Amino acid sequence: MLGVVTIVGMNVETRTPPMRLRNAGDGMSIRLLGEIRVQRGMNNVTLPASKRTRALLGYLAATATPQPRQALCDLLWDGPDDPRAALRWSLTKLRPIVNDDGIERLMSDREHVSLSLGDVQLDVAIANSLLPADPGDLELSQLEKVFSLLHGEFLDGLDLPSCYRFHHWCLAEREHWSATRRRVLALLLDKLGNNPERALPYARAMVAEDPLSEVSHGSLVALLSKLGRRKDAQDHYDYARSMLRREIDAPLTGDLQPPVSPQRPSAPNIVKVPNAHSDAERRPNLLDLTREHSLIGRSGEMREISSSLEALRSGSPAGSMLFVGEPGIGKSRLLEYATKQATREGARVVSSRCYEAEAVRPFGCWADALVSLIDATTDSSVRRDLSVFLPGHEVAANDDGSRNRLFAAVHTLLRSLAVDQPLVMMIDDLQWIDEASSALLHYVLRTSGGPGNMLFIGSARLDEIDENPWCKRAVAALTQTGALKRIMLQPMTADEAAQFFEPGASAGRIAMALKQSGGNPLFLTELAKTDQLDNVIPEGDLDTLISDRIAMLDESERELIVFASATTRDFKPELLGAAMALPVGQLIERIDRLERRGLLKPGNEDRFDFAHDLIRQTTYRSLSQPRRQLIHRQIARALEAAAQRDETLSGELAYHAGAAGDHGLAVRALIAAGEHSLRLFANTAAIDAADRGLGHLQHLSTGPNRAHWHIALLKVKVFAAASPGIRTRPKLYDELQRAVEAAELLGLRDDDAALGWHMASWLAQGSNDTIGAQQAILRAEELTRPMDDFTRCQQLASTGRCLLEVEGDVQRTRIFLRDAERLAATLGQNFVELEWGRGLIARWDGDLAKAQESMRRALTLARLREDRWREIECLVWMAKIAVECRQTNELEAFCSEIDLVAARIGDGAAPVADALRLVGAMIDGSKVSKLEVEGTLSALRTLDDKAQLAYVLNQIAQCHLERNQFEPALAPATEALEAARAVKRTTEIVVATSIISSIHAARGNVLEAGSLLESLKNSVDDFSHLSARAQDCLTRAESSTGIPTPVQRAIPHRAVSISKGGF
Amino acid sequence: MPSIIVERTFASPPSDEDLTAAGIRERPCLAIYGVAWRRSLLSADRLRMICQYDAPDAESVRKVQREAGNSFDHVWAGSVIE
Repeated sequence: MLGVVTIVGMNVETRTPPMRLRNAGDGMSIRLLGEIRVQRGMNNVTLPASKRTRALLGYLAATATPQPRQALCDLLWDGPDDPRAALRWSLTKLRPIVNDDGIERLMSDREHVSLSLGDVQLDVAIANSLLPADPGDLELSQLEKVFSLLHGEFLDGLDLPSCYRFHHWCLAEREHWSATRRRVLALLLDKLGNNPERALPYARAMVAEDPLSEVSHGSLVALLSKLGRRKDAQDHYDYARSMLRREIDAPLTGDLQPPVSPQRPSAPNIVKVPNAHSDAERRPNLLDLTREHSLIGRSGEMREISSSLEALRSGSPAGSMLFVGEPGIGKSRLLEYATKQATREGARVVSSRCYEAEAVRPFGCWADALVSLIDATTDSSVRRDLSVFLPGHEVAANDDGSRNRLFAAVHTLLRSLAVDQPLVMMIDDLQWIDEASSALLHYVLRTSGGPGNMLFIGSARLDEIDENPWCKRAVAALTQTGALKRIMLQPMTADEAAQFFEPGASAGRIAMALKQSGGNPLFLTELAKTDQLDNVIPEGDLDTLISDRIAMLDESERELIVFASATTRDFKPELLGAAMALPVGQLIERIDRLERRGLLKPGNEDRFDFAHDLIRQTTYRSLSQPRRQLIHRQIARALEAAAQRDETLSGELAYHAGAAGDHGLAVRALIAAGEHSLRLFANTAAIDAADRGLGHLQHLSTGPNRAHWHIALLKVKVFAAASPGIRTRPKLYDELQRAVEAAELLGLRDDDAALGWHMASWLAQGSNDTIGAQQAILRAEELTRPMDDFTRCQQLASTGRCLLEVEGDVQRTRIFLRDAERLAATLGQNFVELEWGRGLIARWDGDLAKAQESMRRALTLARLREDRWREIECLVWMAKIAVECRQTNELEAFCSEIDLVAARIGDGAAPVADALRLVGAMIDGSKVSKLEVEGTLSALRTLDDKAQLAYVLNQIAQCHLERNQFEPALAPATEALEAARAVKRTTEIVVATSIISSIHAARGNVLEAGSLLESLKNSVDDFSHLSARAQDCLTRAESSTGIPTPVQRAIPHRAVSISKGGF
Repeated sequence: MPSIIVERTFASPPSDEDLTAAGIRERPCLAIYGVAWRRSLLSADRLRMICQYDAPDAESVRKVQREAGNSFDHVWAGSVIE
């Protein structure tokens, strides 16, 4: 494996080292890190333009196991069209790419699809093979090799937020590879401590990977300082301090220190980096040049536009048209040309565009286009019907509107406008149109070929039309009936290409540029710019050229453009200002500079947009996943308040919250987006929003919020399905029933549970299940009746105790148990569940003595009632508390009792008791053989009790750690972490991570240790309510690493009263 | 999510109402422990039953059964072959 990987060294200080997988001969290689790429020998294979097809290739390659066809359909084509046909089409496109004569790598049968990559170099597989269990064992050169393979985000550019299953899988993979990169970078920085010049690129890469880590910024400042680059060090220090203070709501820990003057004034071998700002200023403004160019070529298309405008002016039917072609071919330029021509000839132009991530803003392009016209219209009925498009509009609950009435109102508005003045409607980037907008466009254009005196001109990327079923259907239907004419834009000819260059440019260079660009005008424009400066044609594709231009911007401009690239659409400066915490003056000044450079352009309604969407995409791809998350988080925060006032922003907020990993906020926003879509009669968009919300919901812990949101999302789906437009009713009954029962159990009776049962009744009725419908209605009615105190008390205590066992919602548990205590006092009763719950709460708070008292009372009550299962459960908890108190004699007594009761009820051996007994022996320092440990753990694994397994493994790891036996401690802690994650036990996750972090710190890998603690923030839901045991472990890990993390700073300090110091 | 199988035997054949009541008893616990019932097979003589659940581990299913007071013989993790 190692022999085929060649590392191309780095030559520019600010860049991460590039990577190439090179194969001997014509062997095939597939790269998943970075943009997906297939190479045969040194040649890139052209991949299908369809994003879903490329995503399918990436998924099959990464998973490397046969996949059921249905699972692949659900993953990527969960839509209204024929998903199996779409999958077949994609497989047809992929076969010639991956198969060779006599070698069939892509195999499929009726049920499964698999990609066999035995002889293919796959970058992620190579990286995995190079990485041992502990990368700390690798030599420096090996680490550098590994890092060179880790260049780029996993499946970069293949973001498919509408395919939420694929989206979440892809994000999880990105997080995994980002964590691997951080781990390798930390080790590299550690090993290059004495070589600051060589370490510097890695320190920069670390900052890019982990922008919220004070340690990373501190390392970079220190390295710059060591190299004598005091000004750079000071600039970065100022920037990092301001950014960290803004982002982390806690004082800095001191890892970021101001630069100190080196003892020697300058380092001798520093490569001088050109002044980015002055260089960028010096360069001609190439996209500006495009704008200033008259339209090159396109004479046929201009004639079509002129002839349609002529027809419009003379009152004849004007031929609506759709320009199609690849990105950068000049579609938008033609629309700009048409706008100028139409305005010159006295027509009113209404223009808008669609955005890729806008699927949950129904009628998005129409709302943008019509908002000013609705304000201006004097027709009160049209104004009322269309007011749903206006921001912040509330639809009356008894509104009896329908989609047809809405469509008719739009048609009436356009027709009335066209009476006074010819009307030209333009929509750019139709390949991203949402279902509702597509239906409205179809309605408007097919109704007598559009309102009289109106012309429609649109544009779409050819290869992406088929990706969007709504666009595909509308375009196919309209072209078939003659309502729309498709015009394919051809590449530039040699003569046309020459016009992009200065008159003195040689024919050879122009021919080379034409070949390299394939006649793409945007590409030619960029190549012409470099030609002017260097008289050479640089290598690289259009993305590379745009990336180079972005890299030449100064820090402040680059910061603004990367924030802008994360927006889903054209943006308001105020939003960016709020997200970046930038004063208006500075913001406008930066936007102005970027506009002068031709990177941004003014849009409608005081908004700004990228001069071309390729610039947005390229800028966004240049960001690491953590940096993207950080930016999306800042934008989501800035949008949150505005979205409460204007629900048209909900879809945008959901997108940013989801991309930031804030699943709670994403779910809330998607509920609002779904409800908004329902009000706009956009039921498909509503279902899409609800499905995305359900995807995010899976990341949230059990608790009242989750139960409430679950029902709200299902409500959107049920209401959307109630429309006659949806032909088949979704199979929601089982899921709704589970959600309602959870809500009921969590005390959400009157609102959520009762509503849920009413919906379940409706669904059951629709399935001709009359009995089910009656039962659901009766249950809804029961819920609205008061419950007797005895039952209520038992239910509260039982729910509270259960929730605490699974660490679902501790705050809610306290309330439940307090209410149960009050009722029990009134009734003069005591319950096993109540005492059990009290014991667990006391243990959670670190009061182990009180926990023992309560558990003892619970045990007595269980024995009185001869409730053997609860008796064993209480005994196990008492044994665990004894472990935590390091009371090994008591522990042994409890384990013996567990064995006795288990034998009495015929359960046989109790592996949990054996495992806890083993922990006791290790605490006492008794000699325990490896065989004995393995045997005991194996029994627990066979039982498949992951929560207990995680607990026992953590205790074993801690025993080793206390004796400085790091190697034996690592394996159990790692397994504990995996088991705890499977059953979502926060305390065991925190304990295992803290132990692993302490092991790294003890081995000298301090950065890795800190990075692990930081990563906890992403994997644990609520850090403000950790158990005392978890907090205690974190504190120990902190003291062993010496790195206070934002995680720990977010936890209010609380005195913990653990009598003895066990984990 | 792993598939978990619960094996049950009954001393006397349970009625439909008994089975429905057992299902109702366990439903609230399913949500808390992250368990989803998938399907059940009842033998023709109604004395044996196999239930399939999706759950993070077998112990979560055992807890649900015990919380609900439903009896069982064995609980084990397995995979579905279709």
